[in-house]
Amino acid sequence: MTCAFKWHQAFLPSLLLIMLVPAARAGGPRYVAGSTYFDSSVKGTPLTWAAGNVTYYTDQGDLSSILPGPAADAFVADAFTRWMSIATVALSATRAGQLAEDVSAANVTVTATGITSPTDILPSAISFPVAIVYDADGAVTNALLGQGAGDPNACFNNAVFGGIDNFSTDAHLLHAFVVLNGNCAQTPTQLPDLKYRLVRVLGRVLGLDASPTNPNVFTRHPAPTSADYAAWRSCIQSTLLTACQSASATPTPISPKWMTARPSRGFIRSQQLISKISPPSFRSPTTLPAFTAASSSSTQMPSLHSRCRE
Amino acid sequence: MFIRFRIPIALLAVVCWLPVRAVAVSGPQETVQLPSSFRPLIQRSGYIFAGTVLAVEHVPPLPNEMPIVRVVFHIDEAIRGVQQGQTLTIREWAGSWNSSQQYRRGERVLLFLYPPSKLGLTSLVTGNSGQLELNARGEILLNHNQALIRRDESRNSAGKRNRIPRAAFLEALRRAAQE
Repeated sequence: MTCAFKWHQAFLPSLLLIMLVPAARAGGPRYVAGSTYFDSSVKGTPLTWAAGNVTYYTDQGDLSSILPGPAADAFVADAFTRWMSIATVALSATRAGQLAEDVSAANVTVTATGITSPTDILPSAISFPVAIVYDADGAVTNALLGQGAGDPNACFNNAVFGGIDNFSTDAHLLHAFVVLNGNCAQTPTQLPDLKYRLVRVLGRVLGLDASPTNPNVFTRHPAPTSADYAAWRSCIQSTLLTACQSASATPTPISPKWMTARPSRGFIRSQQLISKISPPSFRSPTTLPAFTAASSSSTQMPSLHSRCRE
Repeated sequence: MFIRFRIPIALLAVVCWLPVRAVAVSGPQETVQLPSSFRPLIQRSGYIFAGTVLAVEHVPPLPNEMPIVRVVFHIDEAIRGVQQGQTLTIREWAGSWNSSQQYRRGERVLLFLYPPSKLGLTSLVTGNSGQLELNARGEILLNHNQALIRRDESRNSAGKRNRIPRAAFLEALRRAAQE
């Protein structure tokens, strides 16, 4: 009797552990220094921008008729602010000027040896650490991702894309490239969705990884619950976007009660993460512990986080 | 004595039943229905095929060039833009690998790819939803983003949702691609 009871005691926690492992999945730093390429002293260190300074340059052209150059610059600056304004983060984003050209399909071309582009948007252009391209007609998106990728009907996936494309051996991010598709900025109603996607991509530029979401809010399979909507909504609202649902994808109107929501636990989770890799007293980033339910301040956070980013 | 082991036996039964339930698939006569939301994925694709990744090559860029990745596939099942048995080489902008997709040599995948651009580059239509994994049993494995694909409603069940018989799925794709 005693022996059987002990076996039961040992078996049940093991079973629960196996069942709960998937629920413990969450985002973390997008890049961590490995054993090759990087200095051995930084192995295991999350990659960040040196001294927490992010310097970016924007395209000389317009994004769209409603977002001409200066307005597009303000749009981008506001998106950066969503991350930089987090109280516990010592990050700064500075627009240092314009790229040397209007990046378009005219200067992203194919040659006999490969694909050429302006030199200040290439991964090697570390004196232009973050290059923001305004793809006014979707042609750059088409050129890089395939014919049709820049069309207005592809905004759900390709409104904003890009990310880190160069880093140093001492675990610092060196260059990033971000493209905004002007076909997704044709009307004011598109802008909140565009901003939401830009904020997410900038999170990647800052070194954050994405985590799974609750796509059933979009796909309807399985049928989303009110909790699914609420968590998704609160996440969106955390970026202060008030009309963010994608017109093509969200089948159910959002109830006003979700508009008055609680703070987004998912975004708070991302705030905690960015605070860890870029803390206020910025020295060298410390090795980040693996994020599990156990390392979170709330056991609910991993699952909620997984509903909110990406 | 039986009562003594009742709870462990019940737990063991549950543990044994779960994986069996998860891999259960129906016979080849089962039909797959693609919802209307799947049509844009098909319409925008220049290449649709099931294939095996033969090689992945990161092409070192020259000083003024953008980095690209060359991927070679053997076409196992052709739906659009390719022929069965063909060896297809695609080129992708390396930046798209930073944000989502990556292929591994030997991997068997079902892909929806944009038509090549003027630069000869392509990528997955609708991001990661444009790539489906195939397992050794010949089943299509759906991730949570692809769970929109449904079986015949009369046969639908939660336990079967993430594994679709390959033949039935490809047949449904061919039908949809011809519409």
